[in-house]
Amino acid sequence: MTIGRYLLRRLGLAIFVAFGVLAVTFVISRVVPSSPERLYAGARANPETIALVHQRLGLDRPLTVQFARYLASLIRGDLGESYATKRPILEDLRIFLPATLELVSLASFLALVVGIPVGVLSGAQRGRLFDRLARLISLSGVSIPLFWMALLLQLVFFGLLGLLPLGGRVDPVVSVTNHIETITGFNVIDAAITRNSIALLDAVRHLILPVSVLAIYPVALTIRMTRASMIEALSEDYILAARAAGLPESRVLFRLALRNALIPTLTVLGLTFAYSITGAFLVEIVFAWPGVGKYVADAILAADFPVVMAVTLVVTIVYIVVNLVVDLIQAAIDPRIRLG
Amino acid sequence: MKPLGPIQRWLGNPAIPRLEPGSALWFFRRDRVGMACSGFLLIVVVVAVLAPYLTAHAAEGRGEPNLPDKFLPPSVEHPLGTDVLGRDQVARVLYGARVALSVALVIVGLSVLIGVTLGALAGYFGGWVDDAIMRITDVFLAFPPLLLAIAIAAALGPSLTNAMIAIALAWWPWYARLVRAQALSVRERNYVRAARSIGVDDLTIIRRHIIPNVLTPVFVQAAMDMGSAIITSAGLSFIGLGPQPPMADWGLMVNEGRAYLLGGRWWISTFPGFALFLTALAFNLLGDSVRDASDPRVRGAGA
Repeated sequence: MTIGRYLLRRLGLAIFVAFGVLAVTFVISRVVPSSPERLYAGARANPETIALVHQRLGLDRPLTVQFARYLASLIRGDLGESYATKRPILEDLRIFLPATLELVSLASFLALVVGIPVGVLSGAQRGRLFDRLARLISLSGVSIPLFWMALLLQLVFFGLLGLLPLGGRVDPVVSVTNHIETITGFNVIDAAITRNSIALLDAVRHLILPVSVLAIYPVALTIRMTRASMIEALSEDYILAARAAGLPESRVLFRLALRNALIPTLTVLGLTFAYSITGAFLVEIVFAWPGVGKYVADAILAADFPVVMAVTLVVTIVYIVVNLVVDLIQAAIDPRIRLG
Repeated sequence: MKPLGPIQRWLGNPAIPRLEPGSALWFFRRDRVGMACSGFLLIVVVVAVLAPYLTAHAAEGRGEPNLPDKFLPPSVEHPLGTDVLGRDQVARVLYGARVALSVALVIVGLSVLIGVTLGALAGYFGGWVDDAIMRITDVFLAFPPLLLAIAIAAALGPSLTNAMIAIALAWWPWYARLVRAQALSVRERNYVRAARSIGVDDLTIIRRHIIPNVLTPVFVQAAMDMGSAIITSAGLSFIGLGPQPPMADWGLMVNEGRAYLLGGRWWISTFPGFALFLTALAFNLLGDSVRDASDPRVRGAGA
């Protein structure tokens, strides 16, 4: 089928799935808990508040009516109010989302820039020293508990060596003397645009540890997957033919094999995004990075349930969109997908 | 093939893995790394089971405080130090192994159970059953894995059981997909068609023919997932959604030691985390070996 029809089909599926996600989050937030009122009102609410919440949430109405009200409030943009900050969650997300996106995008970028070349070379040099080292490192990378690595690095680089800051996005002194004007919400970009070099350096220094830790899993995963698909691509007949024809090895590797090996690697991008989101939770906790992850983690500790559900919903929708885009790019590159 | 021994005949010639050259098990035996990991994990299992007898501080392992001894650095008497409540870390790490292993088993087991059942039903019956189950799978797969687990765990309340249920509910779709694909092909095989033609009912067919023959990829995936199960549940514990104190859970212990890390008491967080790393690494290596042993392409030239 043509790209157009594939796009429509895929879009239709995405919309259906998004609706299903809404249904599941509704079930988790209203039906699953033994006492939803207590989750929304807070642990120390008195009976009057609980009755009020019960009525506000419409928990006495039939489930279908509840779901309809749930959808209606979402369309209005009302994601609920955070019990802890007493602000609409949508507002909170607007503040915290860019910080997390900064981490996630840099980590994914590292995954591409480091993971793919290493994976390619590793696959090409299968069994040799480089490959063995790369396999060891990437296997360790997917086995390391993120939060533990983050703590260790923090201990070494801040506690022992004093080279990098403990956490946060900006140094408190710098944020007063060289405050970054918020244009995009991404400190590095904003500081660069406004030529605020001191703040730029500060922002970068604060980024190094969180991004490095967050990137461990995506880089390791990318290496493993690129290596595997490289090995598979290199065993194909056309590679043998190209080598027999005398094509230089670098062309064989990067022009022929890599192109075909990259296709599954694109799926990895979608996966790395998913893992980066969840990894960002843990990293943000350790480094006190003011992003969505820390927001949710604090909410969990404070039993601020509306935040947990709202963030789950928003992040999942974003994830669906990212997967959709990745699928469409893949379909555009690889005709087998839309024809098969 | 070797002739069947009396025991095998009595069991009805089940699909026991045999050590013939070229079989999956034979490849696995030759894989030194895989064997080493199996050995290591076997030791871990034994240690976990025998934990109460391997340490003089069993009560502390279970969580009882021992305040006079708090914050002791690693020494001969307490090789891994003591934590904020004076509990011996060796005992805590040992008891944590029990939690980690049982959690991984339950999570993977539950996911496999749900996933295999639904996948077999979807693959065998086809039609609207297949569509319905696959749509549900799609919806569950749309969630970033850990996030769904976090949401469910938050809704159910923080506890060990709830964390296990939450993660299993996030993971079963992978197995359902896997099994469905296998079931679709097994369904067309001659013995299944024969069974149906003589009127064997569907559930018996599923039980006797479909499920035993779809289990190989499930087993491989499960082996590979054990490592992730440990890491994921540790992540949930670190956030506070898993086992609660005073239970000895490695993720929880890393979290508990966090406040004291920069104050010079590094051993409380470091050792449980290292245990997590080693165990997950072993499981991941093992999973890789299992996959390599069963993958026909990797088995060598000419396979």
